[in-house]
This record gives sequence, C-alpha cells and structure tokens, in this order.
Amino acid sequence: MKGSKDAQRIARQLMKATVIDGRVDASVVRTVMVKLATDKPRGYLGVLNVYSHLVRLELKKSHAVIESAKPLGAVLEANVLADLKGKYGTQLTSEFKSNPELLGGMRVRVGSDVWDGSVRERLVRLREKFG
Amino acid sequence: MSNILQELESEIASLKTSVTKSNVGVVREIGDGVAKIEGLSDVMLNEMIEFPGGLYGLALNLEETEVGVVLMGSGLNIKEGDEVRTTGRLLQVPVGREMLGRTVDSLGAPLDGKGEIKADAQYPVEKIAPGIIARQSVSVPVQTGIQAIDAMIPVGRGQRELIIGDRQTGKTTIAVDTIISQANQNRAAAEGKLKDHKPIYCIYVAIGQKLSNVARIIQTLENAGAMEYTTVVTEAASEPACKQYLAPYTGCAIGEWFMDQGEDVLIVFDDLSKHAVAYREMSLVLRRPSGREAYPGDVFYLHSRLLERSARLSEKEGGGSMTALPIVETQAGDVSAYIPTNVISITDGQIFLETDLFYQGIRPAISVGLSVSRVGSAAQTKAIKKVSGTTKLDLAQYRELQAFAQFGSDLDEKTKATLDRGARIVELFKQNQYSPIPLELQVSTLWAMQNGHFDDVAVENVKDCQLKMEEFLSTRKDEVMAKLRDAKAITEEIGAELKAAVEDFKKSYKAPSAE
Repeated sequence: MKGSKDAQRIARQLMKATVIDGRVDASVVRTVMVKLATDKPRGYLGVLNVYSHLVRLELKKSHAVIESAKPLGAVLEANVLADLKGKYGTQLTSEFKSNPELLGGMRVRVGSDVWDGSVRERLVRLREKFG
Repeated sequence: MSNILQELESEIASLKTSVTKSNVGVVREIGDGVAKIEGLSDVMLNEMIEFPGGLYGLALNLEETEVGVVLMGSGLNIKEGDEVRTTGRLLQVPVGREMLGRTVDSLGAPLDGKGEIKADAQYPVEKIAPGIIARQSVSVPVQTGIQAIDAMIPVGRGQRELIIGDRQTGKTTIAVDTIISQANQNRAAAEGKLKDHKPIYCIYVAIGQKLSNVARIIQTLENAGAMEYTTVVTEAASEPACKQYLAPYTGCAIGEWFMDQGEDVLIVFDDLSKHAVAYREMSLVLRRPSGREAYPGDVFYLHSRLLERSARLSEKEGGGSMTALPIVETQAGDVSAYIPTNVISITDGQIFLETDLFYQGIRPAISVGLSVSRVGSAAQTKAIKKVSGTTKLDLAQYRELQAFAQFGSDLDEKTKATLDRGARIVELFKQNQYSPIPLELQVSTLWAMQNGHFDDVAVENVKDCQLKMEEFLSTRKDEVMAKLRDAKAITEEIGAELKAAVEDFKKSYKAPSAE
C-alpha cells in the first residue's frame, strides 16, 4: 500500500494518535474518518487509504485466528482463548475456523506469529527430515 | 535395518509433541524478481525467507509495514496472498575440501553433474572481515607465472590486486594463467620438486558471464590439470540478479574456510563491473534511491566489504591467507569511471591492460606506467628482485624515449642503448596464454637480459632465443635450475653457474634465418 510521501507521513502521525495503550482506539478512528471526510484536506483520499491500511495491520496484531480440523467445542475454545489472552493481552479478539486440511491438531495465528501443532505440519516436517 | 527403524521411531517421537512457532507474512506484490511481504514482524536483514514450493528469497528491505524480498529463483508460481515464513537463518553455503574440482552456483549447489557435495561445514555468505590484530603483513609471493607481473607488479599472498582493462584485452587470461601456475606449483611441491611451498587453492567466481565462456574456462583448467585445485562458482547472465549479486560472497565464504584452516587461497572475481550492474538492477527494483550512474549509494560498501575479507592471517590465527584478483572492465580505457575508481581505491594495486598494446601484439598487454602493486614488492623473492630491480624504470624510459625517437633519427649512443634494451625487454615479456613460466626460468632469462646476453640478438629473434634458452636450461641445466628453485636467490655460486649455462647456450644458439 503506497501513497504519496506526504500521505504516508500524515497517516503515520494519525496512526500514532490512534494507538492508545498498545491498542487501536475505535473512537479516535471514527473521529479521524469524520474529520478527514468533512474537511477534505489536500490528498485526503490517499491519507485515508494509507491510514486504513495501517489500522488494518495494527488490528491484525491483536487478532487471533484459531484453525482446527473440526470444530473445537465451547469448553476447549474458552480454554484456548484464555491461554492466548494470557500471552497476548486481554484485548485479543479471536476467530475460530475449521480447516479439514490440517488433518488434526490446531494452528493459531496472531499477527505474524504462527503456532502450528497440526498433523499436516508434522507430516511436512517429517518429509523434510527424510527428504 | 533395525538402526533405520530406531532412527525413524526417534524422529517421529521428537516430532510427536512439539508445536512449531514461526513468523509468517503474506505476499502483497510480486514482480521483477522482488516480492513485497506484509507481516514478518521478526524478520532479520539478509535472512532467508521460505516461499511455497521450496523457493527461497533474501530479505533486503525492512520497511515499516512491509519487507522487500529478492527471490533466488523463478517466482512464476508465487501469487498474491501466498504465505511465506522466516527461516531464522542467514544465507549459508556448504564449504570444505570437497568443493575443490567442483562447479557450483551461488547457493553452493553443484552444477557439474558430479554428484552431491559432502560439505565439511556451512559458512555464512556475509561475514565481517578479519580485524587488524588477526592480520599480518604480506610477505610471501604468489607466483603468477606471468613474467611481466612477477617482475614488475608482484602479487603477495593476502593482497588484493585489481585486473582492469577494456573488453577483449586478456583480463580473464591473466587470472586463468595465475590459477594454472598455482596448480603447476602445487603439483611440483607434491612431487617434491618444489621445497617449502605452501599450496594455493583457487576459486574462480564467474559473475554474469556467458555460459559458453565459463565452459571454455573450465575446459582450459581441466586441460591444464588445474581443476583439481580449483572451485568454480558461477552465476551466468541468464540467472536472476540476486544470485549474481551473491556469487562473489559465496566464493569468498568457500575461500574463508580454507583460510581458517591455515591454508592459502587465491580468489578471482570475474568481474565486479557485472556484479555492480546486478546489484544496481536489484536496488532499482527494490526502489532504493539511486545515485551516480543509477548505482545505489552503497555500491562502494558492496565491494569494500567483499575485498576486505581477503587477508593474510597472523600465525596465531593459523597463518592462512586469501589473495583476491578482482577484475573490472572499463569502457574505452576510462579508469576514472565510477566502479573502476571505487575498486582501484579499495585494492592494493592494479594491473592495467591496454587495447593498443594488445593489438600491437604485446600480450599480456600490461601498461607498465599505469600498473602498480602497493604491497607486493615486500613479497618478491630475492632472486627476482635482484634481476628485475630496474626493469620497470628501463621500460618507462624506453616508452618516453620511443615517443621522442619518432621525431628524429640522430640519437646519441646512450639513447640508442636504452631503446635497444627496452625493445628487447618488451619482447621478453611477451608470453603465450595458458603457459605460465616457472620462477627459475623467469629469473634466468631476466638475468641474461640484465647482463647483456640478449644484446647481440636481433629484436625480432629475442622471443625465439628466450624460448630456446628456457628449453636448454630446463633440459640440459636442470641442476642449476634446481639450485635456483630451492635457494630462490642468486648466490655467487649460482650466479657463476648461471653465467656458464647461458654462455653455453649462446654458443649453440642459431637465430632463425629470415626467409
């Protein structure tokens, strides 16, 4: 996502103001959007584009995607989420998905970190070892 | 059989419980051999990035929200949204004695169809050069076998001597001759004919060359029996710029292993102009700011960090050395262009080859005035120092007087003598390609020249006389040559025997009749 240098600079400054205590403040995001849309400063579309990209990346850092071969059940989901919140903070949002390609086990992604305990991953590693 | 089963079971057991943690990113853009990746929050500079399908890339641009990764192969199967992951390791290549005699690419993978290489170790491609304390000064010569170089522009072990010149002036030939000469000396030492000789292993790095050229060079080395002491690292012109950029560093890593074992290595970078062009291409597609001639700002650092890795280590560090012969191609003899001036300032001297001399039949076409070796004279053997002391000066005077002599015919005796001597030295230094001359024969012919034994030979017959003298000395006066080879100095006794041998030859020498 490339905007003009000015747009990037302004969007970065807005982003700094948006992140409070390590998390994205929704009210600040709304204020920024309304202000830019009403005042329409020069290049505001570019700024909005870069800003939304930065907000999306920031939100991803505190969003967990938990994949498993078949649905986990409420108790297990709650346990997994509690563990993850203990590690990544209570603001962590989550999304549970079932992915039969994993064959078994679980795969958790938070931001760029991936914890992979799926059967598919183990088979891949086994293949690499004996490859 | 049971061992294999146990191994398999233990591997499965080790995999059973573990959960792998990795750092991943998503491909956002791909094109021109560069992928822009979103994510990869833990990536390191120069880290290898794994793409789907076993393709690897090198993380070169770490930006705030994305990472610029240069692909080390074809990225045709990579698409937007593909997941990539960090590997946690910087680029490493296999190194070891098994690399000798092999042709590999910049990742150390064999290209010669001779099977897998069992490496002794893995060395990082990028490494900080040895510091001041770990080094010692250059004091041991590299006998290139090229008389003009050994006499006037000597190269020492651990030195960096640039070979520079226009296209088709014989730059690669000088490098290949030097490799062949090392192989000849290594073989002679192994047979016990050369005393106190520490073998030099060679690495030839071909960057952005035609595959036919590389094949020809490998064939030449094989024909000369030099391949068994040599490793060829090649990335042809058809390979991605990233792989061409890595090739000299890979060669350097292979050489460093030998150096760390206390051995001596010679590495040829053929050539750094193409290397700079590959790096420029990479930098431009990575959208790095460009400077002079569109090269990026760190093009000096590109070559300085490479050539600084050539060193002669102290005895405490094992006493190994890595001598570098970088090659740079000039355009129309312009040594003041960007890359040539950079590399000239980094190296410890240069051998400048001139197109005019080449077409006049003076081959190797070394320009004596512009060529220099800043540290090599400290490494010259006593014998060659004694006989070549004034040669460079004689030749420089000859060139100056030659220009004057064109305007008039009335010359005094001294001028005539200088011109005659100069013309004969020029003839003496002409040498066929791929035929390096051993030290003792170089010393003998230079001694004969210095002592006027060529003065009565017509200029056009000097080469013939020299070749016959070399043949005579190596077949009929082997004892004197052996003494000279061992002593590496002209003692009174050797001097007297050499004089007798040369006079003996002169009695029997008959110049070829002009037909």
